[in-house]
Amino acid sequence: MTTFSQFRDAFVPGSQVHFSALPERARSIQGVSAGFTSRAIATFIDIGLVAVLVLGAWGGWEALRYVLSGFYDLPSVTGFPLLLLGYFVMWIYWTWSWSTGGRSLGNVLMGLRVQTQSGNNLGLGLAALRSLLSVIFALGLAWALISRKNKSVQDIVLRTEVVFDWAPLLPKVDMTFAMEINE
Amino acid sequence: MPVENGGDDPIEAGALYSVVSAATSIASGALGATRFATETTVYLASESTKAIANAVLDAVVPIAVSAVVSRIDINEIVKDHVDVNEIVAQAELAPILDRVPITEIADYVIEEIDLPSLIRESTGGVADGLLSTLRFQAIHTDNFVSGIVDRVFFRREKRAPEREV
Repeated sequence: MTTFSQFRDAFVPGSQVHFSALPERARSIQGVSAGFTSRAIATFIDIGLVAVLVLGAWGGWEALRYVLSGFYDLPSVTGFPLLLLGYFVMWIYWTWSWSTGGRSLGNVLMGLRVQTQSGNNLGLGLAALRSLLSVIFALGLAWALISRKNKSVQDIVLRTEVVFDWAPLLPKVDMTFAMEINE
Repeated sequence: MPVENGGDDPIEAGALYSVVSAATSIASGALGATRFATETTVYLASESTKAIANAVLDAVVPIAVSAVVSRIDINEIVKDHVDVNEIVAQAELAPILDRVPITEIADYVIEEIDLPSLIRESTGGVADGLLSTLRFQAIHTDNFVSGIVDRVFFRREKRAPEREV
């Protein structure tokens, strides 16, 4: 139990107080690099999402083929081209997610964020590059098991990292008011 | 020699007048001097008396008052004779509230009762809890797996930064 006086003394005038909506025990890990398991689950979620999208599109295409089979002879898409489409969608999806705030759906669910080593969001180019590397060499994530800094091969090559960032913080409270009081 | 002016000698009368006039002047002068001397004396005496009295009071009063005050309980007297509520009721609230750091107090209360967690627990619901559980489980697995890997590689220090949950 802190008294109001203690609370006030500990407060630095001009600084900002923010209240975290995070659970108490999750606060200490925010901004810390995430390990292999969290990231693998996030990746699987993303792959699942893309798989659903691609298979859905494929199902739609097949249905269209079936309906229009009397009029047109539309080509069937199966096997390798479908896989290629999956890779392509995955690449686009990760590029888009990481360049716009660093979170794909899997990242959001697992509370992760992709950022540069200096803590900034990835630009479009860097996101596209990292996404491409992740798509063609997904196994690179396994290096996070061994790396002391939980870095995947992609992270090492492109100087990026994946950190825990569970929830947006509540709006910050401007405390300049307190300065006027103290003067 | 005949006296022409009826017996009164003008020279004698003049001399007499002079004498009387001189005597009057001297008398009034003496009276004035005496009065001045008396007034001065009285003034000086009263002033010096005042000064002495003040000096004595300056020395004595603090001692006397502190002696008195130390023997009585002013708090007790105020409690017995003064209606504090009455006085407080008359105080103007606005200037007092102007000096109260209300936002700081609000921040303090929010922090102290952990309002965010109250809100979270009352509105978060099952989905939020599930998500947190999933994340925490993943982190625990992370720690478990990286612990094994680090042991295999004979790493002494833990992975930096640590992920203690």
